[in-house]
Amino acid sequence: MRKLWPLLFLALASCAPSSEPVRASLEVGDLLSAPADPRFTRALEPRELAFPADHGPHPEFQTEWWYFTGTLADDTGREYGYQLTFFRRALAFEAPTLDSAWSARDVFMAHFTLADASKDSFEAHERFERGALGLAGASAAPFGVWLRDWRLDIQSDGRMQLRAAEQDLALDLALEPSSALVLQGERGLSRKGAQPGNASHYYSIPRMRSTGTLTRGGSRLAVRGESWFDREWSTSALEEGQVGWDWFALRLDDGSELMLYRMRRADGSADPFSSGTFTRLGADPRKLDSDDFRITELARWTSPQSGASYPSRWTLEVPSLGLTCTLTPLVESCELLAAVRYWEGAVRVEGSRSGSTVGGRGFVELTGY
Amino acid sequence: MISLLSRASLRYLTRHPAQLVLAILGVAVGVAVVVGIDTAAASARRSFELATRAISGDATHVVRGTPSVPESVYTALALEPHRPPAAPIVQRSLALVEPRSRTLDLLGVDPFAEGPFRSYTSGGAGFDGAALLRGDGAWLSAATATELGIELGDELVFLVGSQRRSLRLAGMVEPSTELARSALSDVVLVDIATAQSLLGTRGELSRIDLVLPTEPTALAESTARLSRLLPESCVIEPASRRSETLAGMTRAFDINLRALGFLALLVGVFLVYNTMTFAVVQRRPLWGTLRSIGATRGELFRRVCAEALAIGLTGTVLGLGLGLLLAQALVKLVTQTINDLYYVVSVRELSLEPAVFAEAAALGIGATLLGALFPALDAMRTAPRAILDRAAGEARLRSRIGVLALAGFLAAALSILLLRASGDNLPLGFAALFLMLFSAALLVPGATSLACRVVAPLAGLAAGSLGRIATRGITSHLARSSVAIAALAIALSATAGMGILVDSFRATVVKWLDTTLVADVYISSPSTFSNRESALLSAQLVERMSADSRVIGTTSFRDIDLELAAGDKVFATAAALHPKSRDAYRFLEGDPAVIWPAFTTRDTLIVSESLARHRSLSPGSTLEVRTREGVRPFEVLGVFRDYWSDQGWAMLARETWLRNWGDERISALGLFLAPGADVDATIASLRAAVPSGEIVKVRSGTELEAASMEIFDRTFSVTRVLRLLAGVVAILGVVGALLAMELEREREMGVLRAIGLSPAGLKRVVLGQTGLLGALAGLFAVPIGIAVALVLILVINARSFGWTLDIQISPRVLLETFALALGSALIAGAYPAWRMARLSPAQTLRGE
Repeated sequence: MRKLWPLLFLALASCAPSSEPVRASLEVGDLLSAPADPRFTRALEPRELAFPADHGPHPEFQTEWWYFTGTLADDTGREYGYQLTFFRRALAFEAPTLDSAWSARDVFMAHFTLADASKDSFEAHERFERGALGLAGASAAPFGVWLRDWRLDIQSDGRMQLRAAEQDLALDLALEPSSALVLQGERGLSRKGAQPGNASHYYSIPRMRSTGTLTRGGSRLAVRGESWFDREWSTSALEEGQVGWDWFALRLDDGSELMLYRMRRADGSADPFSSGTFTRLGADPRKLDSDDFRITELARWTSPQSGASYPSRWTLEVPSLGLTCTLTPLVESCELLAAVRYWEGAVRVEGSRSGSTVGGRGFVELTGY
Repeated sequence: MISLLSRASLRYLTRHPAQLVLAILGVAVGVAVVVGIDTAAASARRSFELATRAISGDATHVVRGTPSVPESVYTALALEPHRPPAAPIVQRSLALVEPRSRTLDLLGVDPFAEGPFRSYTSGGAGFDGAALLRGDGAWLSAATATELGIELGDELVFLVGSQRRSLRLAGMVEPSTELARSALSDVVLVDIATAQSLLGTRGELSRIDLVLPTEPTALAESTARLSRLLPESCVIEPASRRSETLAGMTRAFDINLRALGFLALLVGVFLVYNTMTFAVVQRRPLWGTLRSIGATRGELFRRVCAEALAIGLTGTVLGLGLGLLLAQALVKLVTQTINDLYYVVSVRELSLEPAVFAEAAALGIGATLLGALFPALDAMRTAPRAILDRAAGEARLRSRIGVLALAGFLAAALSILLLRASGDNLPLGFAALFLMLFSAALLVPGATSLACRVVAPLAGLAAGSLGRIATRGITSHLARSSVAIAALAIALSATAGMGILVDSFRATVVKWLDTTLVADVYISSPSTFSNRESALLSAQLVERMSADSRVIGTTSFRDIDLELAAGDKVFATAAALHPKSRDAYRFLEGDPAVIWPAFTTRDTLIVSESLARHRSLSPGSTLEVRTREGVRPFEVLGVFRDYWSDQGWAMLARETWLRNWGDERISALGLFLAPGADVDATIASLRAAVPSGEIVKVRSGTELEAASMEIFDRTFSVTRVLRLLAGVVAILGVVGALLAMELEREREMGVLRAIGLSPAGLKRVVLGQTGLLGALAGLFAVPIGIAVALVLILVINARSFGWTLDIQISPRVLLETFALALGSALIAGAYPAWRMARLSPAQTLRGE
């Protein structure tokens, strides 16, 4: 559940001249606030997904994204959290008729971050390009999505390659699915609001074995770990009263995975459309509703850059699974001061499930703070 | 003693208010002209810098290409893993025609690449952000939108080439600083796709902005790496180079303006000299008395200097204020000229530079003291009890006439020597010109005394003893009369010189246009600026125009910029010339029989006189030009006479252009009609055949010539204003000098009245005397003015602009000069004449 694009509208709607961080992000935000065009397809009911075709772009929908988050470790055991995400948004249903190769219908955005637990450091990069002149794009067969030299390639057997480099930082990862593909929500239809169509098609591959190299400041390190792949497309918007969300994707070391999101309302309450999915190899996914889980904030972290205060430690309880755990960020300062300001970082999971100790790693995304 | 001296000064100055006011005004106007010109020129320069900086943003370097940068260069660069921040730019000055006429700089950007370069914060109610990428969206600064009276969603119609194209106001740019706000006031911001589509330049970029490291080795490495990605037609250069080149273009223009300002100040100096000389001479008995009661020479010297300083300070302060007012008016003229001749700039506000004011103040005070130096020395040398008063001074001057004349001849010789020895140096050329004027001033006393000797018997014959009295009045007061004559003669000769220059220039250009504009009909796109950034004609239009049955031949032009290997550029035109057009070219160097055959077949070009002069080109030399295929040598075949541009330009054959650059479009077309065809009727039907939506100017050769002359006259409007101002200072000076001189002679006139001269006769004597004085000044101004004109035409103009002009001395200018001299002298004589005629002899003689 990563609806960064609609959040741009929020940023616009709340553009009080005094709030500097929002102001700084207005520029690009302005560019992307396309009016709704009824010709875009909306996600109204579950559809049969076919692969690899559905890894590829869905231009009939206004927005979609390819979202990779993961934790990696180098040979010395130092731990890293990374994020590499690609977004596509159509500015109009039809491309403008201009006599220029720069004329484009789609705009692509990508975020690339690295958190270094041993140094307690976080680095984030953002790119925008229009889908024109080969600067950015998404192709179906063979599947690829790219912004200049940041790219994702998916082979027909499901293996994937991620590459991104910016300044002194470069990541080159080969990903191989080690869990089943999970259809989120109702057979892949994830509702975000009461209105029909305010929903997305959403699937995940919670575990992907990840091996490759991480280059920092000229030195190349071999890294390995696990990644979570989220894939979503929609033509929906945040509904009135929704101000943001907290999203949790956890890989537990007993082989199970848990995805939860909590839609937050302006009054601080959780929206009833909050939900989640529990999966375990060999078993059917189990859908969780908003009253199936409870999330308690234990601490907060205040960003020195934006001044925003984010929850930074949680207790998570899912009584129906007998699961109680605490989530602690590997690095606290994982705030992206991008066109949309949000927090996204790896967490350490410690707790118990049905009486036995359980650990793991996960990723948390916090928006609207 | 000091206080006594001060009181004496004060008493004297307050008793002669007219003289005092005129001297102060003289200094004030001189200083005002210097401040006005410098401020106007500085404001234009500053506005240009601001606009350039707003548009180049934080870019340190740019990629440029000939004729443009292919956008594939940008995509190749964008995909480089370690590329520096880069932003593609499509830019052109466009004429906005609706809602009102105005020139705006169209800046096509990729908003996603802009972050590191330019900051425009946007926002506002009803903001429709996606419009930027949607095709017809344009952004303006809120202030500009308000000025144009448009709101979000309103239409902006531009003239692109010959076509009307419209955009919609999709948003306002809110620059965060006042600086950026004023600089962005002439920018219309669009998406790069919109810009390309609007301009019809698919695949082309004007440049790529880069931010490269500042550290030298990293910079060199980065430049080398990027250069490998560039095709031969492109280069990386510092971002500031283009604006430096443009700013450098106006250097000669600036120097000329400043020199004209100095001229006004120089006339002011004469005025101060005149006033102070008079003030010293008139008080000679006082100096004698003061010396005899114990005042030292130094005290007297300082006293005169202090008086001058008071005049200088007051005049300077007044002049600084007046200069600001003058700058307001001049800035429009200066900007218009810059827009006509050099580049597009609009000045929103005056840029007040402390240096300009400091310099003008120093000049004003310094010049006043300089003017007072000789009178002060004179006062210092007064012998105690010098009862002989002014007669002694007059005697001294008469004895010095020969010395002064000798000094004058020496100064003249020195100025000629300086003119010859200073090569192409423009400031030294002006120095020589000023030296020449100074030498003329030194020669005036001798010439006056000589002239009076010739005139006196004639005057005696014509008007009897009254005539002789009037003539003798001048020679017997030579110390004062010669200064007044010199001041008037110098000021008038300077204005006459400028007048002759403009006349010669105009006549040369008219003649040249007559021989050059040989085609019957000219077709070009209208541009609101007459510089060379002209638009291209559509292929359809060219085809239709050439296809008219009455057209028997064509000449086509394509304006281009040639990028030189050295990194700068040269204006050029790729021309397909009709034989008649060829014949119109007059070569100063090179043989047409050799030039034309080689012109189309080899990589050659011909250059205008100015370009040849600026770059020391002659037949046989080469220009290293960046073509599509890389740098190639182009041989210069000849140098032709031309007055289009003081920067000069090159012409190459269309064949050569196509061979090396391969762009078929043209910017102007000349049509030759069949013998007997009605030009006006043809123009009417050609205008009717213009494809709808296109706007072009279809003009006859005569109309084009008239339009060209209109621009010519406009560019000389600054000169005319300055000429007028120098004239005003001169008249002020002469009126002051004559007024003082005549009033001082009241007693003399009283004697004349007492011995029986009627009031009418007295009037005639006074007016005759001032009239004669004016006539002499007018007479002297003619040869000096011609000399000034020769220096201006042969030296200053050639060094500034590199043009050969046919010298044309029209009797009109000379007569005007003479009439002005005589007229102002008579005006100056009118009041004393009226006053003296009314005085009773007894009153004036009472002092005895």
